[in-house]
Amino acid sequence: MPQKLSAMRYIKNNKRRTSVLIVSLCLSFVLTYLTQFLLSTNSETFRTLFEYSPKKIQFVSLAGSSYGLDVDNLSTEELMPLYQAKRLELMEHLREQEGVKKVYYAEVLYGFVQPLVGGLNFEIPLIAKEELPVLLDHFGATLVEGRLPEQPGELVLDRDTVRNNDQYSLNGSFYTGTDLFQIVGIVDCDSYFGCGIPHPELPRTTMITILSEGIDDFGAILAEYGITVRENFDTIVDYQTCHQIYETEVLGSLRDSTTFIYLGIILLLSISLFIVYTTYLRDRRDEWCLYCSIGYSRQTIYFSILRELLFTFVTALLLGTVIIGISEFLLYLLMIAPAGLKCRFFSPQAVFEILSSYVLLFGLLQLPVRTALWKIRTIDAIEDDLY
Amino acid sequence: MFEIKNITMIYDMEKAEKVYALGGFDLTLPDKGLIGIIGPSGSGKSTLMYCLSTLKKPTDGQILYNGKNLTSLKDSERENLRRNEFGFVFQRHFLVPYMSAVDNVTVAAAKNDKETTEQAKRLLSGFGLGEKEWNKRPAKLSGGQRQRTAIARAMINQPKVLFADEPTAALDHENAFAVMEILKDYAKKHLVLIITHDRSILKDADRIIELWDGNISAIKGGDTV
Repeated sequence: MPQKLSAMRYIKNNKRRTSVLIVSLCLSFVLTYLTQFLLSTNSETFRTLFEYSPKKIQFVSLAGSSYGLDVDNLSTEELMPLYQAKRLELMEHLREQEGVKKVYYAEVLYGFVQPLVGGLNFEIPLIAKEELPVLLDHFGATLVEGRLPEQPGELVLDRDTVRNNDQYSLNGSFYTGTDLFQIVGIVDCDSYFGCGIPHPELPRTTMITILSEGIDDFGAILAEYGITVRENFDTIVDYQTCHQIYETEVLGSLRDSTTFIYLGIILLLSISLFIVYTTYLRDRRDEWCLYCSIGYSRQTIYFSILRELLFTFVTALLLGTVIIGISEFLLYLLMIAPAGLKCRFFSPQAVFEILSSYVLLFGLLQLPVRTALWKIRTIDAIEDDLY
Repeated sequence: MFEIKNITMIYDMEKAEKVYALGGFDLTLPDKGLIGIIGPSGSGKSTLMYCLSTLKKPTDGQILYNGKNLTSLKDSERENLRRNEFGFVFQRHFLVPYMSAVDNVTVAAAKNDKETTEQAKRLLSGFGLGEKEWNKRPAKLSGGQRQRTAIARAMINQPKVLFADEPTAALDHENAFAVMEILKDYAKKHLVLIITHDRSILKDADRIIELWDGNISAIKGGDTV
């Protein structure tokens, strides 16, 4: 086999130096990926609320004027029967839509979920006792502790909501600011979820509550019905509106901070690696001069340096992947799951961004390598300088 | 083997006062034997060696090696010659500091296989470096051991020509003569060119070429000028 310059010779004999490079690259990889992993608890927790739940349950609340009622010239007594009639008419229309399972006119409480940054309310519908199994079944929620609500003022919450919020516990109270509910059961469910039976004597926010599958845009259904939804007067909680908010407000702001963190890490890494690597290259000048003198071409020397560098990068990435896997598992077990948060273990986007930045870094390090190669002379030139 | 015609090497070409390292002489060298090139510092002996070994390109003249003109070779052809047909012992040993003695020898080998490693070990043993020294790094070897490792490296490909620039300069007398014995033995089948200013180590040379101020001042032994 014709002799190539082995990259492993340097690596095996300079374990400490190579390790420094591998560890610094690896830690940057781990740090960058784990940052996005921790931030994913925000995006994934919010995604459940903004994208999963609105596909199962939707809420509609319209102003009288949106139904076409002349609210300015009608008294409350005159308006209310008309408003109720219009609302019942709309609910009937909604019931006829394909994919709609149930339509209630339900009171709504608000639960609160708090990821690492920020927090979000979600709707807890209060419906009749006999309708609760339908709602639980629609969400695929199963009771895991306690019991289902039987009396007015009782409710169940999902396990993650209870884990996330210290104020919620089994048999504990759920205080709305005006009245008190009791948490009588905990359910297991893919989404943040709650439901209960209303207090008859305490009216609160009431909304048309729809259980459906496969309908994303209730605004379009209302438009077909002749109602134009106005942002300032009406409330529509469906997939279409929630998805837009999620994309612009949640992912938009997270993307900015993630990019900022990535850039900071990559910049620091590039500068430090550039300095360290240039020093390493300078120390090996005589060695390459020898190779050049005894007949190795510059191209052969260049490829051996590239193989060393490639080995360093690939080892750092492999090692980093193992550390990330272990860290994610531990973080999930010790921090994320106990806090009732959702997360994303594998993010193709983050992997792509990190790999791209490493390719960029690999390219950047070609500058000192090419400079070092350019400076290689044969030993006669070195000895000319000496004598 | 080498036919040198009017070899001239001028340093500082761009300056008004040019330095003639080689002043334009002819010389023929045989296929085998121990040839000493001797002369004071600045006489052009190292320059001659570097020109013959293709590390330097002369300003003028021709160097024919087995009929091939070395001055008109492409870079890759010069590299191939240095790689496969020439061996080098430099004044400083230029051993790679992080490699073991064996690795320092095999790094110059044209092939990379078990047989090459065995050959490197045989060479080192032949030069008096025992098994204990094979895996030592240069910093752990004595001056003589380093130089002998450098010679083993130069011989690993069994080169047709071995260039040795002051191979004994850093050695005591005992080590110097031990090294010369090795080179003398190698010169029985190959051409060994030794550059030195120490006449005593050339007592067994087949031919001694004396350089003075870039020109040949005398040749002792042999029959070709």
